[in-house]
Amino acid sequence: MSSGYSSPSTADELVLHVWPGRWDLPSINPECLAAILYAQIVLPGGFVVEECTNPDLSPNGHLPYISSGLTAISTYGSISKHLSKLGGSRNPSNHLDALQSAQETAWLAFAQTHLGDLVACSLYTLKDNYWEYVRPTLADMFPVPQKYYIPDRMRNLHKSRLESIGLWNVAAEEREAEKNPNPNARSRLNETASSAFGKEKVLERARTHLDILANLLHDKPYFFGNEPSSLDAVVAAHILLLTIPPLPNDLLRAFITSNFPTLCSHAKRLRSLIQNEDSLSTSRSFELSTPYASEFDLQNASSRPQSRPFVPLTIRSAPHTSLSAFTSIFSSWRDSSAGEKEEKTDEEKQYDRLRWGWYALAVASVFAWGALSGLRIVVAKPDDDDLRKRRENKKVDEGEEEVEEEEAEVVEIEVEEDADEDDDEE
Amino acid sequence: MASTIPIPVAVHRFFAKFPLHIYPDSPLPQKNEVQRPSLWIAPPKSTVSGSVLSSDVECLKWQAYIALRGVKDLSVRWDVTPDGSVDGRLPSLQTADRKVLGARMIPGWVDDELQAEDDAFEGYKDATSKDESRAWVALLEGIVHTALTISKPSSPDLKAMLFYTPSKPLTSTASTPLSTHLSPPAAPISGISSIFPVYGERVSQSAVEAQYHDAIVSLSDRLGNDEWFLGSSRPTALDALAFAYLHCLLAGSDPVRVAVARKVNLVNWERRVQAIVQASCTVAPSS
Repeated sequence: MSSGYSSPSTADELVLHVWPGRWDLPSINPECLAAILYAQIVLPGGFVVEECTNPDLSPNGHLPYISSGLTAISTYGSISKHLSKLGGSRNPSNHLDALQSAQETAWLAFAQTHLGDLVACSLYTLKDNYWEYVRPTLADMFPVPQKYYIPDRMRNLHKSRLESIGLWNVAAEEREAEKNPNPNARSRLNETASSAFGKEKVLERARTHLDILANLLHDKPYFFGNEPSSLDAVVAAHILLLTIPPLPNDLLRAFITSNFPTLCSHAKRLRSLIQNEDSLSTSRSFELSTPYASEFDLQNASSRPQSRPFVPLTIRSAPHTSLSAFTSIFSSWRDSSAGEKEEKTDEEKQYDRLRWGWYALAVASVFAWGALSGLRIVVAKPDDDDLRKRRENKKVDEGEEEVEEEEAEVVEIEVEEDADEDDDEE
Repeated sequence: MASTIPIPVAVHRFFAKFPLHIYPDSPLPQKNEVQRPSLWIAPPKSTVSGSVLSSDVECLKWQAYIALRGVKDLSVRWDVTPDGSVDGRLPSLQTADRKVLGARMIPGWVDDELQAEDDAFEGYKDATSKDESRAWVALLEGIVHTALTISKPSSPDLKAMLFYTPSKPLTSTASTPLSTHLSPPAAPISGISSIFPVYGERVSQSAVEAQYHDAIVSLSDRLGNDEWFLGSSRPTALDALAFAYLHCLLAGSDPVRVAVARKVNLVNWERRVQAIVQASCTVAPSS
């Protein structure tokens, strides 16, 4: 397990650590995206988003987590509670009664569970999505050698959950259905049987759960009244990750955009809190090939509530942790040789002093050991008397060796001659 | 016995030294005839007080479902291991005509027994309540289940360690990993970035306890003073599930039990439903 110093920020700064963003979204993870949306609802401009690729720094091993000074809080539920306390008058729970608050707790569990399954299925198990698109995207975020094993680990985390609900082998079932293109009776029967699995299972599950959420939202701007709440952030985050990424297999994206326009416009409304209207109108989502996406994007481009002025997010990259320090050595040398100098804090300077002190101690120890064990490194000039004497001694030694070899040959010859004489006598 | 392949005499004489005896069929012991449906469940926590309520959430859920739907003359037995059950897990239902059904078939069997008409709302008062019931099911089977699982002591006792025998756990819930119920799934203890192979499940106990506490408060607020959850006029599947979890939580360790015990309406409701379920079930005669 890795650990390391990761936050050079000021002591009381509220930092939200999330997975990096792609596809014109601030994060690729639904929980992280929901946390960003909720933080923007409650504390617009009062926090910093820090991209992080090391979830082991989090108290529960997952991103997102927030840190403020020495405090670190993980899981979306705890983060939203903490932000609500800091939000004061902007706390969305202020306009919920006890019944709505209780219902929101249940609906949050519903959305996180079932929409989370759909997002995981879309990214990791639908045919072609993971191996052709998602895995390379994730690998780009990590240095060597992590890029070769972390994406697969992230995928395998979802295996037990998706297996239990029958969405893990969707890709294999889809391929099985595609193996019989001829529509004769027997293959049609096989295709019917296999189509009962695969994508039909995914669509059935999506239809069941999204119908419920669409009925709950109905024609309202938000789930509970006219102000966004925690549930709005969670649902919008998942819908955005189901509809925005340009995945090769757009089964769920096409299904949701064509059948659930209210949920899509709701997600767009929440997205306008973190992205300016101009950037929304020119975002990559408009470049998608499906006609449905461009249609709802244009209609809902200016859907941000008038009472909420746009406050841009502050996003920064995480500093290198100890685990990636080895791989980042070369990049840091490159940066330092390019003349980039960053002002270091006192603590960092102390760490540098200790680090160089350790290097010096190691080198000195090697030399001390060599001296105590009697090793000598002699640097001799060509006309040195010692070298000449050694050469003379070497010649003498070589001469003695030649003499010994000759004597040995003589002895051998004598032994052979004696042996021959003995044979003759016999 | 005639053979189509000619056997040499020497081989025949050799095999004659090892004659084959065919013994008559052994008569099977006459077990008690199944006269009424029997639900195979995990054993109760304690049978001293005459309790027939299973200690496993999954088994108790179905036991309560059958009882609350109004099925009479249901017997329960806990001498059947999961290996002998449908899909290798309890509960299973043995019907009067000697069929054994898995848990998924129980609702259909109950409808047949009661000759119930199709109800679009599944017993809830309207479509909105039916949709809301799905949310409460997700809450109970998610964070509440996780809190219940991690509250159980994981370290075995000395006797179990000394006389270790690898065997499957009796309860289905004990064999499923936590990641099956959590979304997002639990991170590995070894860390996702570590160079070592992943193992274990890392769950933040404080975060789970906080969410569990919120869940119980929400459950209590939603129940209020109603007779059944979501204001239904008769018990529904959600009531059976809620009862199963509340009963196991109140019988569990202090952290989870205290959170429920503080809510008087939940405790009173659980006791009332417990009496109904207890009265509906009897122990099957042992074979």
